[in-house]
Amino acid sequence: MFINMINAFYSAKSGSKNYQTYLDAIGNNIANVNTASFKAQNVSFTDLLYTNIEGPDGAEQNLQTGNGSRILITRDMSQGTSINGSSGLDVMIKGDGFFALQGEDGNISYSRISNFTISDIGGTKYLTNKNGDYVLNENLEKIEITSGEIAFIAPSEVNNNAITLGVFRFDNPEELVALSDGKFGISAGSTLTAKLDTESSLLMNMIESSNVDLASEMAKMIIAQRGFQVNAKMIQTVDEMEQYANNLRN
Amino acid sequence: MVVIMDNTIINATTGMLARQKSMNITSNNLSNIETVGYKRSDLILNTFGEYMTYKVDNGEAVEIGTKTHGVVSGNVYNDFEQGAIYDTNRTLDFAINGVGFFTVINENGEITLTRDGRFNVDDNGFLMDALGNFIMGQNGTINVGVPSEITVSETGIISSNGNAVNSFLITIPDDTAAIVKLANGQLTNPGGTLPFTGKIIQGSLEHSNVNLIEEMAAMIEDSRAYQSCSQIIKMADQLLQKTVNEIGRV
Repeated sequence: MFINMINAFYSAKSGSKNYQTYLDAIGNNIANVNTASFKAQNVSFTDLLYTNIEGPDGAEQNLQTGNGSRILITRDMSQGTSINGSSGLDVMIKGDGFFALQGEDGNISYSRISNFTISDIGGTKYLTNKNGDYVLNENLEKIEITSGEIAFIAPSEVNNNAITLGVFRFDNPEELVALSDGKFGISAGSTLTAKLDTESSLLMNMIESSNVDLASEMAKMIIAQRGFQVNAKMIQTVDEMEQYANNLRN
Repeated sequence: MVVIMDNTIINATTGMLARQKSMNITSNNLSNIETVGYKRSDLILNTFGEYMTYKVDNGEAVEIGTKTHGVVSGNVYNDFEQGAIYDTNRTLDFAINGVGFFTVINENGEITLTRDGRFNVDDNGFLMDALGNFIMGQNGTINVGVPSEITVSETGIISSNGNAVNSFLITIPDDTAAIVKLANGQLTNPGGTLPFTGKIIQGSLEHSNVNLIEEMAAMIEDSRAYQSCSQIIKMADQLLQKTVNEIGRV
């Protein structure tokens, strides 16, 4: 019927731990306030199972006690604002698509960052990003650069003199798993499929800014800090109560 | 004499146990202060049943008054008061202003209720909650198609690309005292339902209705009452010690 220690201790522990994770996520968002195409993470809370404590005559009444909280972390996939790029290879996606990238290991990942460059690999010039991943076209093929003047278009656009970049979209982009360097992947076992994006367009010589809103992150930071504090206070109070119980016999 | 001493210890012990349970509930409220749509709980304390005491006068029992054996936890009261509604600007976030719950059906076909309106659309166009349970409409589970522009009227009519597809099934339990809390913001309704008179607000969520000041005050009250009861046990113990060791010493 009863856990030896006061259960409030564990509820408050889960609260403190969750607020700590909340602060971690806010810290990461703020650290990436200037990261191109960064998508902010949101932490939201939900409650845990309830247990029935017994009534006086042994019958189960509506005497439910909770066991704390847990968190869900989601990613805000909304568009960031556009800022001027520094090179002709800076391209911004207007819409909810992703560029397709292929790493050295052959795995395909998706990113909205266009830190593109031209790499000479075995005498052939390829369009890659600055980490050395190949940028792929709409058929998931590597892009060879032949002419000096380069213009890019999205699959939704038509221009015979431009290179079509592979821009793909997902029904539930929130389900993508963040990898490093602004890349996203599809987790094993996920039913998520990349579909050719026929709506997004490209903005040349533009970079998408991070969608972190500093003011709301600061407000959340205050909430998370206070939430942590109040749960820590609860742990301390329960500890004192345990002490009274331990000192019953002195 | 000894019997009365025992009573004091038992009375004070019931006080400590009751305050401990109350602390568990306060702690769960504090842990869930940021949980979307969370409704706070409160422990209602009752006195243990009273009983009559007698004295023996000329061989006859004479009533001298009533006594109780302390305190007992009577009921857990769920406070369904409206929480504050805040803007999220996310299309699939919904808050209910007024009495009522979204109706959810889980993978086992069990129907539960929730005030947590953080919904998503799955690959097949069904509206789901954060755990992957289907949201119920008045015409069965809600399918909005993919991809689509979703708008919801104040009365809960869901339109996808301008065409009404379904409307939210809002359950209003006629007996809120019978509601049992499950995990993840879900509840069950063992009773009947009433008509919906509130409003659905799209792009918003409902805060928990936990009041930080009230919970902190309750925490202090419970911990001090717990301490007082522990002092009473100590006092009774000291008196017993005197009785046992000093009375009748030659």
